[in-house]
This record gives sequence, C-alpha cells and structure tokens, in this order.
Amino acid sequence: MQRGKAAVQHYQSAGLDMLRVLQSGMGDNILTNKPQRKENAAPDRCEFQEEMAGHIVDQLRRAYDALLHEPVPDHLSRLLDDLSEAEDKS
Amino acid sequence: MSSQAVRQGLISFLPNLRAFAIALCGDADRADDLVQDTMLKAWNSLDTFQEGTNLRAWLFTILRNTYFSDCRRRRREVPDDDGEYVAQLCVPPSQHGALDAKDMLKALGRLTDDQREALILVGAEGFAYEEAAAICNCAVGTIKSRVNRARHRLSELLGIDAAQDFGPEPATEAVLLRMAAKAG
Repeated sequence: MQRGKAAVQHYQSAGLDMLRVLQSGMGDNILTNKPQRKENAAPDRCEFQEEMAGHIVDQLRRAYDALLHEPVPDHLSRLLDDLSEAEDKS
Repeated sequence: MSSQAVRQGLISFLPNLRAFAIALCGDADRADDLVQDTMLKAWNSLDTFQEGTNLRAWLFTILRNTYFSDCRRRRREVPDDDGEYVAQLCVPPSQHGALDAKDMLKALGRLTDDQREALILVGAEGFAYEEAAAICNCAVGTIKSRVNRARHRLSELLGIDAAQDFGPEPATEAVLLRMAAKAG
C-alpha cells in the first residue's frame, strides 16, 4: 500500500515537472492557464540589450569628450569681452 | 547673479555649448554660428535668467531652441523632399571594430533630431532626465523613451551585434594573441 502511494506521488511530481518544462517553452502558464509575464520570457535578452546600451553610452561619452577638448575658436572666446566692452561704452 | 558671475558661467560652459552644437548639427562652422547666436541671446536676455536656477540648462535651452528655429528656416529655404540633403550629411560607419569619434558623430547624424538631442543631453552631458525634459520642453517619460530608442538605433547603425565589437582593434588583438601564445 505504502509503495503504491509513493509511486503515485512520484508520477504526480514527474508530471508537474514535465508541465513546467513545457511551460518554459510556451507563452502561457499551463498550470494556472495565465499568460506568462514578458520579462520572465526573455530575461537574457533584456540584460544583453542593457549591456549593449551601456557600451554605446560609453562610446558616445568618449566621442563627446573629444569634442569638449577641441580648442574654442578665438572669435567665440573674445565675444564676451567685446560685449562687455560695448556695454561699458554705452 | 551679477553680470560678472554670468559672464564667468558663459565662459566656463563655452566648450560644452560648442560640443553640444557640433553633436546636434554635425558641422563645426554651423555649430560656431549657433554658439555665437546663443551667447548673444543669453547676453541680451540676462534679465530673464532667474537667479538660483541652472545656468547650464538655461544656456542649453537657448542653444537647442536656436538650432530648431534654424532647422525650420533651412527646411523652408532648401526643399528636401527626397531627403538628398540629409543623405549627404550622413555616411555609414567606415570602419568595423575600432569605433572612433567620427563614426559615432556620423551615426548620431542619422538619428532623428529629438532622439539625438535627448541622447546627447542625458548620455553625454549628464543632465538628469528631469533637466533634459525641461530643456526640451517635453515630459520626462518622453525623454526616457527617446534616449532608449536612440541607444538601440545607434547600436544598429554602428553594426554592433555583440559586446566583442567593442574589443581591441585588430592590431592590438594580434599583439595580445601573440603574447598569449608565448605565455602558453
């Protein structure tokens, strides 16, 4: 009798495992009949995209940093002096 | 804020304004004109600047408004129904693997104006989403979504499919491989 119960429990457990395996490959939760959340469906893809986005921003900062260190043309640097001078005169 | 303090502020933000202008329009001469117009407008509107608020954000707002007004005027003057003018401005990345500033700027030029602006303000200039939203006069959520779309579009434009694409240049890689072979 005991062996019979253990066998039933074993097969029930194996059946649930099988359903979970199937569920992981499908969109819906077979056990609860509810749609599976999107973020659980592809966490690796999201992580990868986030990593790539981080790399892109790093590259952008490097390029922008090069622009920041370019010498500013004289006429722009002098512009404020000229404006101050003109204001003082008036 | 005294005019001397604002003047110091204008001088200290000059490189940032110029970098933002170049990244926005992709042309150094036009960027210098934009910065000059921005400085003049800022100087003539000093009385509208509220003391205690963010001078950098105020200057960037003036520059981007000047840029978009200029764009609207140019669109009226230069008919570009087929997008030929834009195509001339944008060239696909010339090199694979080693990304340089020019490649990045070319790719930036192929983003939409609002995506490019949002990405530069947040990603490169380091403005908070809220500050960038105030500068662009739109909702914070809009800025977040523009930045996100811009990052993904950039990776497409630069042909970046994997993190390894950011790895060492071929020459550096060859040296590293040779060193690894000797060590092994």
